[in-house]
Amino acid sequence: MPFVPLILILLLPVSVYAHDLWFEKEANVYSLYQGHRHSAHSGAEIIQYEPGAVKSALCSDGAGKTRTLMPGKAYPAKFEGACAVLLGSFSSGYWTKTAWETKNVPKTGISGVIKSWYSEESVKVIERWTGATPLGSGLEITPTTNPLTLSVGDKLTVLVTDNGKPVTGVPVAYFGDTRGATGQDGKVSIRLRQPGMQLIEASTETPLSDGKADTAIRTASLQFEVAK
Amino acid sequence: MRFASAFALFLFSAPALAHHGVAGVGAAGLNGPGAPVESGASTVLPEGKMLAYFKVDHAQFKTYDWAAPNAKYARFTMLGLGYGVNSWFSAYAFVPHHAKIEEAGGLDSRGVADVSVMGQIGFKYDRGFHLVPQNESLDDLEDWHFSLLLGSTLPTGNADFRLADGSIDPGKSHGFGKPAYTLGLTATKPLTDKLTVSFDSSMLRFQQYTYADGQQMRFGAENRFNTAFSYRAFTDAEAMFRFDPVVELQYLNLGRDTENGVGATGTGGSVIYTLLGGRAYWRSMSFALGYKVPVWTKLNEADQQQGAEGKEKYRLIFSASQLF
Repeated sequence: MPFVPLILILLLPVSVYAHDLWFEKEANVYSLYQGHRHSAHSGAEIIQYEPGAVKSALCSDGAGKTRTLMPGKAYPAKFEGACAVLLGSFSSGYWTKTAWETKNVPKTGISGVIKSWYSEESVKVIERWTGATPLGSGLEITPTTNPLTLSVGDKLTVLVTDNGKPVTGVPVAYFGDTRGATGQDGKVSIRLRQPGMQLIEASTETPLSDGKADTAIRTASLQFEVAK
Repeated sequence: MRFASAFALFLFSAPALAHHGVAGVGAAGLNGPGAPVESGASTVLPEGKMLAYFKVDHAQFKTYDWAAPNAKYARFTMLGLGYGVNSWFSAYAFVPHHAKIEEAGGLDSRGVADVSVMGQIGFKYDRGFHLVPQNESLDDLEDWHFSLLLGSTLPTGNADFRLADGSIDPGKSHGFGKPAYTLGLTATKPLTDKLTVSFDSSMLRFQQYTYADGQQMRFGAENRFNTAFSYRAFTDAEAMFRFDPVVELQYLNLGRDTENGVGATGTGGSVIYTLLGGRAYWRSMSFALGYKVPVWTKLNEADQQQGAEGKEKYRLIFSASQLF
């Protein structure tokens, strides 16, 4: 139903896309950055993060093998490997907002809590087309066709999954500009509007019952390049 | 039969276009395609959603000494209800009311007219033609969208309505006596992030009806081709408000009425109207206001057509719709 997703678009909190995650590649080394360099909204170009926030990455070689890569302890986190697809996961942990401040801690023992959440993010970069299959087990964006053959102006249909299952009603943005929400099949089409690096993002907010935060905010990013 | 055409216009063009409000409401949210004030757009109702619709079309006529008592104005009011059967098919029903008022000494007519029903099939072009899918992004909404409209009046109104002097004037009757049919095609495309163009063509066909006083009438065929541009000029995301100025160019061709088997003089012709107006969207509601004037006319026996299309000083059109 077009109506519902579009209302979601209107209501989408800006904070969901407070910053972007992306990889930069040099030889076979992928460095993970956070910031607003590619974002439609304003903010610092690069925001340094705690290296411990970077958990791991899955590297698919495109020939059926997937291995787990661990980052170093320095900033920025680096992963080395010849990957057709690389999926990195990142979590800045629990956040609690009070009337006075927002702290990077669980809400436990804090008074005057307005809102609390657990933040989890992932970014997937596609270097070679390996098929329309999710790689990981969390929130993930997967192109349904080879995005590397597309040009500026083309539309790409992406599938948003959680634990490999399609998710409905998830807002999806192109460089921070929300363009739609997934349908019942977990799919939505996004038009590529600029050459070079592409960044498509999806985000969900779901209730948490661990007592440390009210909700879990999870964001998945998809990164690839188009030539023209 | 100077009111006949206006009556037909009321019954068909407005129902066919009743989905206008949807684009605003939803469809497009604050960033999607715009919609015309009066011409048709290609938006179908979301599946399972209902649309309540209200429209007033006030036509103020030019008056002439030779035509006294002149037709002063005609006011067409309409209530409608639409339902999104699925993502590509919407069904509508409309109940019209009309008031046709003349100068002192003339014969007025007021009443509820024929109910009309309409079906709308929405489709689009995106690497081929497809029915409108369940889910579309703002980028999908940038594609060409089309709709096919099929409608009919139902003879629920009193076609044999008698005026104050006891006579029957088919142009002032409250119904056509028999179903009249319409077929329409719309096309809509956002040309830029803010500018949307809509094309709307339709045809309306009547059947001959024999009135209680024995006279036979078949109203002339109506054909329309409209073009509309809407521009997203102002948005306030927090208030969920948007305003689009709208410009429309409307071509109307009216066939000659057939009265007792003979072509009636003083009927039929062609008119081009321009409409300036705007459409506002607020949450799930949409409001449109337009000022419309004929800018070119070629009417048969024009000096006998006071009170017909093409002889308006102006028309004022207001509509409101709510999706729920």
